[in-house]
Amino acid sequence: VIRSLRTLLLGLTVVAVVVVTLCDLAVSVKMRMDTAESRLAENTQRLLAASQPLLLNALVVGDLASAEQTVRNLNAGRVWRRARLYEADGRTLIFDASPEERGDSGAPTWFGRLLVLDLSEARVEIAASPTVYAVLAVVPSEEEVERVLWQETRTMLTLAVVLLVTLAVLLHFILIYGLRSVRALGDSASRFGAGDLTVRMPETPLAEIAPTVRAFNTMAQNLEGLMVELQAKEAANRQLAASVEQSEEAILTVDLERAVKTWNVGARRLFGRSADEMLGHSVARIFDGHPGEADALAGRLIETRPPERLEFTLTPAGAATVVVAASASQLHDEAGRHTGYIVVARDVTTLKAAERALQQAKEAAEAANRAKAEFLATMSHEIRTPMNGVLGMNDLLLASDLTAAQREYATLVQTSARALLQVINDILDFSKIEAGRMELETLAFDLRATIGEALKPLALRAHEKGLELVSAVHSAVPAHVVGDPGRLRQILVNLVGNAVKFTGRGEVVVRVEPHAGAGSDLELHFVVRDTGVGVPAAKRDMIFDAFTQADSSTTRRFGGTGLGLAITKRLVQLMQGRIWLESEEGWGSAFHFTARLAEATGVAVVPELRQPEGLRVLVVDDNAESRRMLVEMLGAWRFAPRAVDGGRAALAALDQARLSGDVPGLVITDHEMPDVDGITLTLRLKADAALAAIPTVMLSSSSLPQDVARARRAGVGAFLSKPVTQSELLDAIMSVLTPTLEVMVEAPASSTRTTAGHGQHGLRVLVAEDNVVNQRVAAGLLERRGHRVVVVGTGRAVLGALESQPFDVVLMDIEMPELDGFEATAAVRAYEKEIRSGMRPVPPGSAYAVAHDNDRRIPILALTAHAMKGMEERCLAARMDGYLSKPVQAEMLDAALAPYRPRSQPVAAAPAAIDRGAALRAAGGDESLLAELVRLFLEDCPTRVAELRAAVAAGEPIRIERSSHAIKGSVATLGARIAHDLAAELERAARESRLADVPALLRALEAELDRVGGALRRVTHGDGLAISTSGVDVL
Amino acid sequence: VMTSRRFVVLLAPVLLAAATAGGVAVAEQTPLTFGVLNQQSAALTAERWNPILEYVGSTSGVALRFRMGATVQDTNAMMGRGEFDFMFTNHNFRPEYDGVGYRAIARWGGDPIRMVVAVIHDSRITGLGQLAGKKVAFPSRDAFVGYAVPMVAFKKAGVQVEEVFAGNQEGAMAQVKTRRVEAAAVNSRFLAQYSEREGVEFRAIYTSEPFPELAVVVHPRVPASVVDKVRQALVAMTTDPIAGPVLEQAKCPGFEPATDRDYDGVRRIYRSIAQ
Repeated sequence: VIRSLRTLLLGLTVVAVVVVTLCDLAVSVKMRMDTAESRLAENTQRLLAASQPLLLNALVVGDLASAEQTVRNLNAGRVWRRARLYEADGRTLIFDASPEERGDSGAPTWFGRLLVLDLSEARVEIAASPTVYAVLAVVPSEEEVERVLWQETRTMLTLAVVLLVTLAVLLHFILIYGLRSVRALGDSASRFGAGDLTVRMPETPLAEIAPTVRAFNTMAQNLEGLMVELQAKEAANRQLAASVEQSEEAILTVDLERAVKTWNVGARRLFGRSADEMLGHSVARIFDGHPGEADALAGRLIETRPPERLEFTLTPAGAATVVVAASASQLHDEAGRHTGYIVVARDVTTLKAAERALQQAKEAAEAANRAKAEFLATMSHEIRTPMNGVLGMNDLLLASDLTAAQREYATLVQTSARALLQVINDILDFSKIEAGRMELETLAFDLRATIGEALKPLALRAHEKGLELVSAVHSAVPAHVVGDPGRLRQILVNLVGNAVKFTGRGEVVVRVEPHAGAGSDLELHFVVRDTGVGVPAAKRDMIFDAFTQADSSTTRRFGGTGLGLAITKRLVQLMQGRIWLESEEGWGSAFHFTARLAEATGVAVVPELRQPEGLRVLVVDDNAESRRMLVEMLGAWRFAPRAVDGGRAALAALDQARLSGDVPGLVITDHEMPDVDGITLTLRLKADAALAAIPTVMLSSSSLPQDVARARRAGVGAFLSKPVTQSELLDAIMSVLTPTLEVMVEAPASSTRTTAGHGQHGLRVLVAEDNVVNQRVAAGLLERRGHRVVVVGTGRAVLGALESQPFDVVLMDIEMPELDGFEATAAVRAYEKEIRSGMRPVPPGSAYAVAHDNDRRIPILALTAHAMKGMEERCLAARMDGYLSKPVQAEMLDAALAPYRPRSQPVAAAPAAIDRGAALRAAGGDESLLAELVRLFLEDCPTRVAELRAAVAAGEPIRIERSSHAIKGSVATLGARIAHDLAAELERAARESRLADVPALLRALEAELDRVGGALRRVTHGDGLAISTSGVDVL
Repeated sequence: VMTSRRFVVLLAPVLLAAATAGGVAVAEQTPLTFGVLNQQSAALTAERWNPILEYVGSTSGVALRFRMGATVQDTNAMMGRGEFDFMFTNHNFRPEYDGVGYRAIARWGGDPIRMVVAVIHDSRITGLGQLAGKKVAFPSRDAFVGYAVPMVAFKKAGVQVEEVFAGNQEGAMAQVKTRRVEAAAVNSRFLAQYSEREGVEFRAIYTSEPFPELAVVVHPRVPASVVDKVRQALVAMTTDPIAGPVLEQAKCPGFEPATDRDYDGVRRIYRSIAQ
């Protein structure tokens, strides 16, 4: 058995080298033997060939001695072992010239014996043809072969020995070097085993040993780490045990039989019992103070898991009663078996007391808050009520006959009162926000319409100052959104109002885009940019603070409370948005804000319009914002817009288009432009036969009749005042593209407001109001609008009046003596129910009879100074039909009463069906054009009505809306205001899907259109003009 | 012992020849010996003459055995002792062999040969007289045309030259080419062949009278009928198709009939030398 790796390796190497060498030698000798044999045979043949002529010479002349000498000479090198010459017969020996003795090859005898050489005899005839003189026979000598092979073998053996020795020496050193690492590893392992955990092996470059060394080091590292960790854990455990033992909290463990196993210092202190008393005993002992239920309590305790706590009182001997809170957790052994519980208990006496104090404080605070809110509401009510009186009475005063001075004073009162009302509203809003009582509504609304409505009144002011007011809503913004439209409007009015206020010249642009980066929620980014005075950098941060403007002089110059932006900022925050300002002093400001809204679903979507898709539209406007807005709108409607920045550029584009045969289908042009204005552009267009057919829509900051007339004469198809809402623009485009009726659309907002009252004559209104001033205000407002008014002061009086007199509508104050508004309403609804169920007859000539005839309940509109959110809901919940907030404004009143107009118009009291003056203005003062418009209307009207009727019959709101919209447009041109209002109401009803209201409205509209038709026919038949008492031209 | 071994050696070709005759020409008598003058090595001479003798033996029915001495002197001595029945030589015309009695029956075919004394083409030597005391190469002292004839010519011209023996004809011409000697006395046929092959121009300053090639001579003891058979067979070789390859191998133009008279010029030369 070999015990040393070195010996083993050396031995194996020597054996391997010897074996390889011997094999190599054997093979080599064998190969060389074969070579030597053939070489010998060749040599012999060559010698024989050379000897032939020599021998022949001698033999021919019979000189045998010479012949023999020749053979011996040839064999001087002993290449032949045997050389004999025979007679021609090959058998008879002539002479034998074999060498006498064998040569010495120098090889040992054993080597010669190892060689097995096949050396055969070679023969050659010595002849001069045809005579054969003799035969020479030779056998080659093996000595030469032996000698060569022996030399080579000896050389190889020598080399093998040298190799062997070299290898052995090298191996010896390699092994000494390699084994040193192995031995070191062994030493390290034994030192490690002896407990020296810091032992590490140095790295070795030997690839075979290196992994082992690394593995050893890693193992040592891990073991050392493990040991250190173990020690640390042990220390931690000891510390933990000590902590538990010393803890102020009572910590104890019990087994499954509830016997106490551990009991710490805290437990001793809390329960007043030593460990000796408790260990091994049932935990129920701690409930000794609750005789009879100790076991039950112990059971509940160990079933109480954190964060639940079992609270109980304890009165340790000689101490005050304490409240204890305890809970238990299950204990498990390492195998996961349930072995018992750990109970943690704590004295919560002081905590309990603190909780109670806190609760009391909270209740007090809430009470205070309620009182504050109550105060706010009361203030709101108390301020609005007299303000209503001031404004209302002043309105009435202004409507009466006054001297010029009186009118001026009254007007100033009105202006001041409105300003005061605004201030009060701001303060109330701000207070509400500060009190956290501002809540936003969640309604679906048309965003573009809301923005349009908000900007319309401001546009008037902007135009007066010569400013451009442009609004653009990105096409990606949905039509209907959910949010608080009123508050959004408030924000916009505030910002745009400021912008108009602080901008001397230039433009104010409102843009709405989806906020970049917003997720699935709809977050909109609004920008209000002006070219005004700008805000200095130092003021930018504080501008949104309450009672701050850019500087105090601004307040003096422009007025305002300084609350607007503060309120705006709060409102934006309520909409989960933020507001910021970018401004450069002297160059203008851009107010940005974002608002989080939701996209409205289930709202009737604006019907897909049937306009020619891809129609090429040339947009001409020198204002880049306007241009961009128009292109955006047109793009959204799938037109193919192209914009140029002026009249000259437009003409160039049109020239080019005419050449390429690519003429646009529509031109939308600005009115005022620096180079070639809109009118000139239109004239040039109409003068060109190839372009004359292109319809033109003109946008203008002006709405002066003479401008409209000029445009009309120039051949403009539709004339729109800026700012233009999308709906107006589309109407105008559709009207010029379907030239059955050319429409001149004017902004209707201002005109409808002043004339709305004319459509609502004949309502019998019961006003319930306890405040005498407000009684006068309401009565005055209503009477001025042609309604008949009865005023009562209490809720009980309401019930009496309704039973005895006919009324179309009740305006009900909420706060009244005897019966308040809600109670009165409840009584009315109860009365109606009894009528419907037949328990009570309908009192003839009463409001109930009127309602019964109209197949509805008595319309009750709440009238309240509580401008707080929730009031409207409360009113509707109380089964009222609407809500008016004081101070009552005329427009709100008209809108609220509109649905209850009588079905049939009393002929005698009917207002003019058409306003010829307005119609003529719309026609640009052109009588012949008006006549043409009338003719077209009369032709077209029956078709439109038939369409509307069909839509109503089919019950399709979208079609109803479209048809009524079309009719609204056409009658507006002719100054048929009542028809216009009815059509608008019908359109609204359809849009809001109030289909129940549609048939009545249709009937009313048809009747009114008949009246309009009659009036128009009289116009065309040359009837003269009549002058109305109100100074308005009527037919 | 030596005698019997030699006998066997000499007998072997005869036995072989008899065997190859296919039994047609049976050796009815002891073969006649046919000696050949040593002009080449014994081996080459045997290779040239054995086939001819084989052919003549089978054609004429006269068995002939090739035989020669190791040297010219040996062969001439054997001739002097009358050991050959037939012989190919011209030394029999030397005066010392007049008593032996060999006479010519045929001669080696082809044109007669002349002796030429040649110098290199640009040599200033134009006549034999100018060669006095100069080195002149000869093939061999035993040569007839190469030595006997020029010696007679130099003697007549009264010129004594320094004799250089080159061993054979070409050796003598090579000496001139390498300018180791002034002139060489050579066979006219060899001169032409050598000049053409080596591209060396020689100029002949002396040309001898023509001499016939060596003769086939016969000893007076051979019966006339045997002589006729042998002569006829030799002369007929040029016309016998079977003999064609034999002549070609021996580079022999054939044999023509000849008499002693054809060799009077040779005999005269030898006489002149002997004086």
